[in-house]
Amino acid sequence: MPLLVVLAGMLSLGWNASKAGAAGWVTAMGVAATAYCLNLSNLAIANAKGMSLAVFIITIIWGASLLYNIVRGGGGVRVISRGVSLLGGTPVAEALILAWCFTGVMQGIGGFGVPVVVISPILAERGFPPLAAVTATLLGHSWSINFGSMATSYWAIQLVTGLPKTALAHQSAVMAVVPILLTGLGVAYIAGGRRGLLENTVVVVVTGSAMALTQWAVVTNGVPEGGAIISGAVGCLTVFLLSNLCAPRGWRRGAGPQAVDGCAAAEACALPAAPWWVTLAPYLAMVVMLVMAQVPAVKTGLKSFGWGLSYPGYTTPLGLVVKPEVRYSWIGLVSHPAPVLLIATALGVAIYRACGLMTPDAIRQAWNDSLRQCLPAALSTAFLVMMALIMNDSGMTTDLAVAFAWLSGRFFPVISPLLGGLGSFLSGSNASSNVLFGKFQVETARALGMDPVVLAAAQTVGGSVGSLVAPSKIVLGAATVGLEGCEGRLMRDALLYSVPVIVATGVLCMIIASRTVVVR
Amino acid sequence: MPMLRLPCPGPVSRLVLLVGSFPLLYYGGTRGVTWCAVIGTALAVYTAALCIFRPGDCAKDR
Repeated sequence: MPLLVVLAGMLSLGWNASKAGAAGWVTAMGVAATAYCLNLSNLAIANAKGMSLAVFIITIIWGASLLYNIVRGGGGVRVISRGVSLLGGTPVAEALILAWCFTGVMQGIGGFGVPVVVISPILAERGFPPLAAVTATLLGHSWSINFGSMATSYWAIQLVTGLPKTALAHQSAVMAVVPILLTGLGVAYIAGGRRGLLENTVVVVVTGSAMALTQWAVVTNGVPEGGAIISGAVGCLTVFLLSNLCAPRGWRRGAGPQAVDGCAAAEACALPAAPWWVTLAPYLAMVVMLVMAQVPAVKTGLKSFGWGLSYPGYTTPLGLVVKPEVRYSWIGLVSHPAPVLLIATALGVAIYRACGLMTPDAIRQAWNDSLRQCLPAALSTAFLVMMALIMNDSGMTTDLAVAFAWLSGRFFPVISPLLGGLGSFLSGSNASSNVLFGKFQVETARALGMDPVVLAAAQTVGGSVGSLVAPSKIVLGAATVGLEGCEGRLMRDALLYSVPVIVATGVLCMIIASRTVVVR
Repeated sequence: MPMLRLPCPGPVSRLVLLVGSFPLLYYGGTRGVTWCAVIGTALAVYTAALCIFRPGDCAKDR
């Protein structure tokens, strides 16, 4: 019911995400209180957990948006834009490098929506229509989420299921071939239409194969944390080389897509009078800090610095055991992107002021722009996450999963990635989806006499692609390019691209599952 | 929904209302303080009602 309300509101009635989220949350409260008999204390805990998780997400949105607006004010976005125009060869190649490959690198380092908030506005700045810019970025980065964020999602499902690490990494990498190729083709289509797709099919297939092979080699050799980063970097290089070899005759390098640099006035297009590394200092600082945060000594030393609330466990009247949570949605100084984003922003402001690249008025403008972009996103994120937590803690989500399994029977592998996608849709996170459904997938696989590794891999790969349509991510993307209120349209477009990818992954999963009948 | 004459606070006020319900929900739920949970839930429901029945930019509504 709550899901139907959100989907119908956003897709059919054209509601914005705040309205759909609020309606979905109220519906979830009603269903949880009546059909699932949750008492007020249980509901309050579920809602408070939702708010904790919302704070976790909103601080990333706010931090990334502020960083972007500061860099934009200092001229850094124009520098990136110019750099990409010299690198990409054609507009489609630019989109492929930025939205498909470079987002993989960013997802690998940062994740948690950072690629969407950073790359979407840069694509829009390059002259791509805002809707296309966000859709391409959402779709383009979705292949990398499983092994992104330092392989958080992969580790989540491995820990929940206890399956062998290398076997799970191997199977996940094999199944990721489909999303890698299809998301690349999707980005080419979004950026260049049918012609762009046809002209770049070879580039995408060759690059996608190189990325998939790299990811497989990296993750099966004990470095799952490097899967997205290294394959994304290999992708950038391959597209750069191929697109320059295959660029249409007469194409002027650096011409950009529809509007050169996305600005009309000559003064707005002028590059800042400072070296490129000064204008990009905030982003460079962010990358350095994110990499440093992975150093074991730093990680351990700063582990206890952060904020998070603990919640008690309980058993619902229908018998579902909700586990207690210690430091739920922990916002750690180094484990959460927001502190890093804020430090990078502060450094950027100091450097820009010292170099005369930004006036106090421009800084104020950047702050106001971020507030304007993030306020509606904060409201809708809070409602949607609270709704998801009520569904999880009441048992609605589990019932939904069981119903899926019962309906599909031996064709369960086909819908297995869809279930992962549903979990990501609900929670906004591939890792949460894996925690939610990982064990269920494995148990179902054992009951059906199938290899649990295959279904666990399908769960996490499907979750990776499904997270691109998560309302919280849709809101995030829409806010960064000024599409607030158009989330329904964005979700429709995102669904159009994500569903075929998940279905194709399901078909591959069915083929693999039918060939490997092993009970572990 | 003009039938429901809800006041028209902007997005900042709505967010403040929702965030304000958080400590009440937390203390009510985790410590078993019913009145806290009731007020927290009521505050959050009221904010949801504002979003459902008075969506968009309030300045434009006026």
